[in-house]
Formats: sequence, C-alpha cells, structure tokens
Amino acid sequence: MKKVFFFVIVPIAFLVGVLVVFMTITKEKPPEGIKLALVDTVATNFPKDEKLARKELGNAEKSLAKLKPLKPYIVIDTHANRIYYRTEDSIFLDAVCSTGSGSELIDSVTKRKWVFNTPRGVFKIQNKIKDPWWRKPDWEFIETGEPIPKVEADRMDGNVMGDFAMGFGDGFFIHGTIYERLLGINVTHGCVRLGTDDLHKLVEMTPIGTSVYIF
Amino acid sequence: MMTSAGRLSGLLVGVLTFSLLVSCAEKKQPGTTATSADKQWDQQQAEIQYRVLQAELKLAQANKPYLVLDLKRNRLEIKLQGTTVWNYAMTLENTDESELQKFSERFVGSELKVVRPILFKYLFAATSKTSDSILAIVSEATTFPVELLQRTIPERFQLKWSDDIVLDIRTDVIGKPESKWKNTMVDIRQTIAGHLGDALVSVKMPKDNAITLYRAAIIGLPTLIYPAS
Repeated sequence: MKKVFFFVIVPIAFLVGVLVVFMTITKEKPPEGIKLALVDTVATNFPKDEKLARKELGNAEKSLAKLKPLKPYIVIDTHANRIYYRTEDSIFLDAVCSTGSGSELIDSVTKRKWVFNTPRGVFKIQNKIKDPWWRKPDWEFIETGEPIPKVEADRMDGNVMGDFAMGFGDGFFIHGTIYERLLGINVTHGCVRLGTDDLHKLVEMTPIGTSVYIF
Repeated sequence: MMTSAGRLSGLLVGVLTFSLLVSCAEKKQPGTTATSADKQWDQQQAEIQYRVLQAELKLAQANKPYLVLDLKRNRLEIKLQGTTVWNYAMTLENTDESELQKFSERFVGSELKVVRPILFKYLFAATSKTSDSILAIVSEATTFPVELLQRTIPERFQLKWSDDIVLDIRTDVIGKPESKWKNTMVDIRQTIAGHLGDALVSVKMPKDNAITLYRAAIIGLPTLIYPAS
C-alpha cells in the first residue's frame, strides 16, 4: 500500500501540480481598458412567435443590405499599401500604391504641427483632374528648410502628380508619381500615389461619386 | 340505395385518398427543395442570426473597421460600415471541421455572444518587407523615420479572444523568431490546453494577406462571428 502511495499517487499528484502551476503562470492577463462586450448583442426583444421573428429577421437583413454600395468601390489598404477597385466578391483592379507615413512635422517657429497620415474612413471621389498641378503647402517648405513663398505662383509645381488626380476630400488625392520605385512604401504626406498604368486604368473605371474606403 | 350522408362521406374519403396520393408523389420527387417558408424553424438559430445582424448594424455605424469570422463560408473579412474592404478564403491547416465547429460554439458560448474584442496578438516570427539599406536611402530622401516606413511580414502570429479562443495564422515566409523561449512556452501551453478543450483554428495565408491582417488586427478590434451552421 505504501509502495503504491509513494510510487504512483505522489508522482501523479506532483505532475498534476506542476501542470496546474505551468498553466496558471503562462496564462496571459487581458489588457486593461478593453471593454469585454463592445456591442451588446443580447437581443431580448427577439419575438418568440415564428411569424413575427421571421419579419424581424427580414427587416434586419434589409437594414444591413442598405449599407452596402450598389456599385463598385475603391478600397485603400494602408497596411499593405494596396489599392483595389472592387465589389464584395469581385476585384477589378489590384495595384500597389503608397500611402501616408504617419510621421509628424512641427514648425519650430510657429509650433504648427502636421501628422502625415492618409485619412481612414469612407469618402467619395469628388473630382478628376487631368495634368494636375501641385500647390505646395507650407509644410513642404518647412520640411525642406526653404522660406515660405509670398507669391502664389512660387508654390505651383506641375511635374509631380502624374497624369491624373482624383480628389476625395480635405485636399487629399489619388494621383500619379515620378517616384514609382517607392510604390509599396509608406512615403507620402497623406495622398495616395499610384503607378502610371494603374492610375490610367483606375481613372477610366471610376465615376465621380464612387465610394472610397480607407483602412 | 345510398343516402346523401353516405355519398358525402364517400366523396370525402375519395378526396382524402387523392390528396394523400398527391402528397406521397411529391415527397418521392427527387431534387425537390423546401421553400424558406417550409424550412423547419429553429428559434435559437434564428435568435443567433438576429443577434449577428443587430451586432453588425451597430458595428457598421461606428465608422471603424471590424473583423468578421465567417465560419459559414470559411472566410475572414475586414469590414467598414458594413462593406467588405478585405477578405480571405480560409485555408485551414491541421484543423478539421469538428475543430472549426468547436471554435464557433466556444465563441458564441451559452450567452450567445457574437462579438468579442481581440485581447491578445502574439507574433512568433517575422521578417522585414523592405531591406534596411533601401529604407535608409528612402528615409534620407524623404526625412521620414525609417521605422515608420518598414512593414513586418509575419511568419506566424496568433489572435486571441477571451475564453482561450485562438486563431493561428501561418505564412510561407521564413522569419526571425521574436523569442524562442516564449514561443516554446506558448506552444506547450496550447498543446496542453488543446487537450483540455481549448478552441484553436489554424489558417495558412499568403504573406500579402497576412501583412494586412497582422497590422489591422489591433488589440480591442471588435470581431463578429457568423457561426458555423
């Protein structure tokens, strides 16, 4: 009996103890501040009656369907630097692009601050411009250490935005670039740069008013 | 001579026999499908479906991306305002249908929970997308810090939700391990936990898809499940 206790029960108990300790110390603690239930999904008002329940389901499906665009839309993936022209199940254009770097610039004189992010969210194509000119903003001069010009014409540059630009609001554009080797890297000040061929295809496909989803 | 009551009962028997024969003939027809109205009503399934729809409506209103685990179609999706902005048809690795079912059931649980935030993201090994020498040149030309320009290509990473629900993502990339010791501990723990009933689904993914998912799946990202049926 003693032999069984010492050679069977004690080792098993020891192993179980080690296992419990191991599992306890290696268990990760959830980060603080994360709400465990972001969305209250307890649908207490779901009807018990089949007919009413079917009607409720149908209404909810319709509400969700209304959110989806009926026409193809542009998606800009800032994580992988890719741009798509797509529907829910089909992709018509998949191209490499460049999006915002996320870096900051502070003007040491005026303390003005810029963060060079491509904005996230849902936008619409507002215009299409052929042979666009870039009106250099103040940050371009601050970044390069040049004085901010007093004459408007000194801000204009017709050689950097490629053949087309499509505006999607707040001064942000999808446009071409003379630095095609940098496509795929987050090097822009917020605009979305595309290679010449892909830009031509996208401009041709995209009507004004097309939704632009940026994430 | 038959009475009118007799004639009526004979007619009724005839009609009943005819309708019985017709219904039997209909049942025997191959390929006959039931309409949605004929489908057997499952109150709990319907309630889960309703919760999924309600939850998605709320998530779509938030104007922020959310992750969708569509286990009906074996698809991973990132959505924004209810619209798919990224999707990947899951290629399961060392995971069978029963494990997928277990994952789905664990996620929904007895409380019929259809949304959970990502609580942990663990990177086992990774490599850099752009070589440091190229980035150094780019950084000099653009004045942007190098670290902002670099992208991580994961070899393997995991997303975890509460109740030890784990999605393990692997790519073909050969990366540098973040910590060999910690990687071993995580693997041992999950092997033991797997035998104790934890839910883990392993997915193989091309590197371009993995870059997006790895970066977009931030801690706290709401995850909606379309449960496996």
